[in-house]
Amino acid sequence: MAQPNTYWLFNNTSGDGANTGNASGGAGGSSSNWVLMDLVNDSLAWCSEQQTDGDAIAGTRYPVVIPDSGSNEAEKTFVKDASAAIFDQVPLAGTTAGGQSGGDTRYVFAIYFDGATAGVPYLEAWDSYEHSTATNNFLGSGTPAESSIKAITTTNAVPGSATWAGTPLAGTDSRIELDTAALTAAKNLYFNIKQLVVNGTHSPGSSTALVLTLRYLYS
Amino acid sequence: MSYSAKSVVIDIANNWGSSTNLGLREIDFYYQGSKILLTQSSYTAYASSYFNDDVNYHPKLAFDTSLSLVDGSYGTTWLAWSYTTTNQRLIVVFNSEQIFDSIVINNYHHNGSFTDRGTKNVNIYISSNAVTNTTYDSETDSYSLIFNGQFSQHSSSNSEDPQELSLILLGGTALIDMAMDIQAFSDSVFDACLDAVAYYQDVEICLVDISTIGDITQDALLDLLLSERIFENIQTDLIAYFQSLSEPHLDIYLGAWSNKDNKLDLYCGFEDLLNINLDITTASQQLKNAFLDINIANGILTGDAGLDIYLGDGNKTQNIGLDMLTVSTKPEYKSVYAMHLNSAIREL
Repeated sequence: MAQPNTYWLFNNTSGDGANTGNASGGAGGSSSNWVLMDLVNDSLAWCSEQQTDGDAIAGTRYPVVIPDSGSNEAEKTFVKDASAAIFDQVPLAGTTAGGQSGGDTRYVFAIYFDGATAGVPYLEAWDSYEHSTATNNFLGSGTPAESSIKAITTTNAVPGSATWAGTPLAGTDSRIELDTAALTAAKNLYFNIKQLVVNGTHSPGSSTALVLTLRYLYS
Repeated sequence: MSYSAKSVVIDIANNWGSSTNLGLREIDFYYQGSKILLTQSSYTAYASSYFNDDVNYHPKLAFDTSLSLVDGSYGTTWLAWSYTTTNQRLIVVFNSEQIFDSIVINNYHHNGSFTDRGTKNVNIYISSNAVTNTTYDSETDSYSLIFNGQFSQHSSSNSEDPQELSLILLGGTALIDMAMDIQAFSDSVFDACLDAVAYYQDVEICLVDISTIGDITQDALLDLLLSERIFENIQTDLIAYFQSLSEPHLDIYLGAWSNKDNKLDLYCGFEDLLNINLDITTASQQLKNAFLDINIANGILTGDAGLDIYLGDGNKTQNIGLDMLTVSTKPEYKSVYAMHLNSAIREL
């Protein structure tokens, strides 16, 4: 079998419906709308509540705030849409703790495979596209369990909790399987993701080198 | 091509004829021509069995590249349970996903002898999971087959006898990235330069860490946006106190209520307190020994009035109720001294 093509999409509505448009996205179930990501130019961004859907990328960026104590889930999640030059919100991202419309919802981010794989696809986080280290402070500084990026697979079911904990993402040591087995045919795989910053663990800073990585085996 | 694996699963069907033992000296992984050096802390190994549960024949020995490939097998070789010569599974689980492009094995021997104990018909699988199921030929649908064939019997000599396996070509591993643009600020910007955006963020969402503000104001100009943000929820006028700080590390909280030993210049305060009463009582509670520069009153008093009023000089100055309008009758280079609440202001 040939290497399948993959397409990353996000739902920019509060409608928790499947990506019926597959590689093209567009209107989906339950009034959802799926937007195809440009993996070269778009990026995933977590912001504070001051960021507004549709804000210009060239405008002010309102980062997540690390609290004085305890933890803080990013209030809003966006895809920085390079072609539209806006912060395009992903309202269902994260949990109810984050203050968006997310929670026990299933159809938030999708990766559409147009063919089979030879293994289970994984979602990972790395320091850079070189995929050699995952030691950035936001990824736990070498302690994967302390990564601020947490994800959960929703391919086959909702998380089961509106305040799902998720799995911290850091390299291959801590990652999520996007399905339970290798894909035998074209399929949409779904996941949700959040950023949870913790006082004393995560430090003020920024990085645009971090990558969210889809890993899969093909034959 | 290269293979990426968290686990390598070796299903061994049988040996080269021995009726008593089945074993394997070592399996080495190579990448771009170099052996990947592994010690026993680099991985975890499992097997269906090992000889009499003796750790000197533990499966971990089969992947340890530091061990000798010659001489005796004790302490250097995996050996299955006594008289177990078929259907064994050997597993290595790397600490982190390992990339390799070839596998080289050295089959069982003991000082060049007993080579018929060596592993013969084998399937090798890779998995991105940490595989711990040691049942021969189980769950193989979850793995990717990369070798199906025989390991050569070791030569009858006490020497290394490496055999490179012909691995099944897979399509490969695809890694597809999406960029993450991550920024985070602390609500306690302990040693940051005053960043208007950052500060704005912090102040709006969090309680202001007053001690932090004190640090930041050491050399910074006052960010008025910050002050606007915290106006509503803070019990002091930070603009006034920021501008009046004479000591860099003056904690604003202290500046408001506990500024015991600092000079408090109320001139700035005057400008910001236009529409409220100047609560001297509040200030005097914490300013018992402070020098209060009444230049604040320049706009009310005559321009030439060098009026200095000492509060807390040993007299009970609270409740003085000093009426500035009374003083404003052009004292003309005079000084006044408030002796007591009920004292008349007298010229010296």
